[in-house]
Amino acid sequence: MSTARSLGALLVALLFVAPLTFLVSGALREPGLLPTDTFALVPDPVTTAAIERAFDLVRLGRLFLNSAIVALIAVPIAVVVASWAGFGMVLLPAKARRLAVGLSLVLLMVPLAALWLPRFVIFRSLGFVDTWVPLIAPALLGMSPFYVLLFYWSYRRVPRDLIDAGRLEGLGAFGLWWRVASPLVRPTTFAVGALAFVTTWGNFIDPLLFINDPDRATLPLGVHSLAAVGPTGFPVVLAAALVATLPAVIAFALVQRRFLQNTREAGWLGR
Amino acid sequence: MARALIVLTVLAVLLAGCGDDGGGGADGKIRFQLFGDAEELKAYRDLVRDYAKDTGREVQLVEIPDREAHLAKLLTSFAGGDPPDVFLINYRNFGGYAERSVVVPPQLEADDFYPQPVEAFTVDGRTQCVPQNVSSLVVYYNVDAFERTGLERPAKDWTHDELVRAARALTQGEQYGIGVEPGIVRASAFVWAAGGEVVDRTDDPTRFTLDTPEARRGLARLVELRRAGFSPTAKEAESRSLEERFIDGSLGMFMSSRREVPSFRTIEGFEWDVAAFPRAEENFTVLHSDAYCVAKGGNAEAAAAFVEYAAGEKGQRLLARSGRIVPSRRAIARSPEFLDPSKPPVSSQVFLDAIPRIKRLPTDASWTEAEDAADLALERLYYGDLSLDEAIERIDRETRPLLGRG
Repeated sequence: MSTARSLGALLVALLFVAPLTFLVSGALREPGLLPTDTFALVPDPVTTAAIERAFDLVRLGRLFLNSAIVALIAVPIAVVVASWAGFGMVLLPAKARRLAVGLSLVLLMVPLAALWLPRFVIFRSLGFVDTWVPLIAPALLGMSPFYVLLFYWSYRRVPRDLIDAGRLEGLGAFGLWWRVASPLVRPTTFAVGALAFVTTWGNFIDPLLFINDPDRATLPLGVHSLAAVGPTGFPVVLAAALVATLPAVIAFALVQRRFLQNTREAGWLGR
Repeated sequence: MARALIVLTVLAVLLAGCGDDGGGGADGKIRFQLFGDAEELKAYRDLVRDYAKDTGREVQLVEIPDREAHLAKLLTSFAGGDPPDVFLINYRNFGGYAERSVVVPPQLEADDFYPQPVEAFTVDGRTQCVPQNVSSLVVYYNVDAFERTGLERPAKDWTHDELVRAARALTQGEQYGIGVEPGIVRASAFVWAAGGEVVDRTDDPTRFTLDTPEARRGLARLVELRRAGFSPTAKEAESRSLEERFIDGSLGMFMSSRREVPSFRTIEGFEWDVAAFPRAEENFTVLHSDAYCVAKGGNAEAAAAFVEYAAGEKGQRLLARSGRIVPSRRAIARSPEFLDPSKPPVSSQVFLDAIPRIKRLPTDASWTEAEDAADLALERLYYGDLSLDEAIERIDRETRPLLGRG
C-alpha cells in the first residue's frame, strides 16, 4: 500500500519536476545558439551567460526588489485579513453565515477581466495610477474570496466549546482569534500565505494596467518583455523566469516544512 | 485574452467618456505607448532619445511586448480616463477609437504621404492619426538556398505558379519551402490575387465574402502550400516559429511584412532578400500600416509636437535606417535611408513598387474581434482540421453577428 502510494507520489512529482528541469537547463544554455529540436538535460556548454544577459537587457535587480516590496507588504496583510474574515464568518448567526459563504462563492466566480476597468476607474480617481497601491490594495480584502473561504472552512472545525470557553474567560473577538482559533489553523495560514505570495509574485495584469514608469515595474512585466527578444534569446527568457521562480520555490519549500509539521502536531484537528 | 478583450470592449463602450481631464502635466513630459520586439523597440528608444536631444522635451516610452497586452492596456486606460498621450496602433485595430472619437485629429500635409495609409486612418473625411509606414505583404527568401537549388531569383512580376514551383524545389530533407502564418491578414492577399473579395464592403463590412468561387480559389491556394507539404505542420510551427526557421536557414521563403527586417538583419550565415507578393489572376497585396495617434484629454499639445517629429522627416529617417518601417512619407521612402543597398534586403524597392497595388482590410470597431474569430478558423483550415467549406461556413456564422452590430 505504502509503496504504491510512494510510487504515485513520485509520478506526480515527476510530472511537476519536468517543467522545472526544462527551466533550469534552458536557463543555463548559451544564448544566441539556435534552438534545437531535441532536449539536452545538461546543456553543453553550461553557462550563466543567459542569466547575465537577462540582467543586462531588463533591470531584473530593480524589478526583483519592486516585486519583493510589493509581496512583503501585500502577503501578510492578505493573510491576516482573510483569517479575520474567515473567523468572523464562523461567529456569524447561521443565516448571515450562509449568506456570507454564498456571496464569497459568487464573488469567486466573477471573471477577473470584468474587474480590470472598474478597478482602473476607482484607482485613477483616487490618483493611484503608476503607484503600487493597486497591486497591494486587494490584500486589504484578503486578496481572494477563496482564501477567506479556506480560513472559514478551517475555523469551522475548531470546536465551538473552545470558543465558548474563551468567551467565558473574557476574551473579545480579537483575543479569541489570536489566542484560541488562529493557533489551531496554522497549516491553513501557511497555505494561504504561500498561495497569496505566488499570486502577488506572478501578477502580470495589474502592473500592466497600472504601472507606466519602468522604475516601478515588477518582475512579471520584465519577464514578459524579454519574451520579445526573438528566437535565439530563448535561454535569456528562461533565465529571467528562473530568477523570478526561485523565490516562490524557496518560499514554498520553507513553508511546506512548517505546514507538514503542523499537520502532524495538530492531530486532533487532522481527523 | 480574447474573451477578456470582448468583456473590456463592452465595458469600454458603457463607460466611454467616464473621465476626461486626463494626465499629461505642465512639465510637458508625455507618455507614448507601443508594442514591438526588442529590435523594434530599440529603434523607438533612439527616436525618443533624439527627440529629447533636439527639443529638450521628455517622452516616456511605455513598451508593451505583445499586441494583446497593448490593446488591453489601451482599452482600459482609455475607458478609465487615463490614456497615454500618444500611442501607435495598426489600422486594423483602430476602428473602436475612431468611432468613439477619442483621438485628436492631426494637421497633416497629406500630399507628403502615400495616400493608402492616410486613407486607412481617415474616418468621415477626417484623418485621425499620422501614419508612420506603408508596409505590405512580401516574400522573404533565402538567396543561398535559391542558388543551391538552382532556382532563379524571383522576377519582379512573378506568379503564384512560380512561387509554388520554388516552394516545391526548396522543400527537401529538413528544409521547408515556404512559411505563411494562416490568418486573414495573409489570406486576404491570396483572395484578392485570385480575384475575390474578403468582405462585402471595406468601409462598412456586414459579412465576409469568402464563399465566392474566386475567394475560394485564393484560399485553396494558401491551404495547398501546407497540404502539399511545402510548409511546416502545426506542431512544427508551434515548436519553432517560422521566423526562427527562416533565421536558421531551414525555411526557404517566408511571407511577412517589413517588420521582420530589424531581426533578419542579425542573420550572418546566408544572404536573404525580398520579392513581391506573387500575382495570379489579379495583382494585389495587403496594407500593413501603423499610425501615431494623439489621445484626447492628455497633453495634446506636447503630444502633437512629438508626433510631428516622429512622423516628420527626421523621425522617419531614423526609423527607416533601423530597417523597421517602409516610410509613409514619399520623400523618405525614396531616400537612401530606406533604399540603402549596403544593408539587406537589397531589393527594398519591392515595397515601394507594391504600393500602387495595395488593398486594405476594414477598420470598423468590430473588425479586431471579427478578424480574431476568422483567424482561428483559418488556422484550423490551414492545418487540416477543417475543410474549406466548413471554415468558410464557420467564419460566416461567427463573424456575421459581430460585423452586423455596427
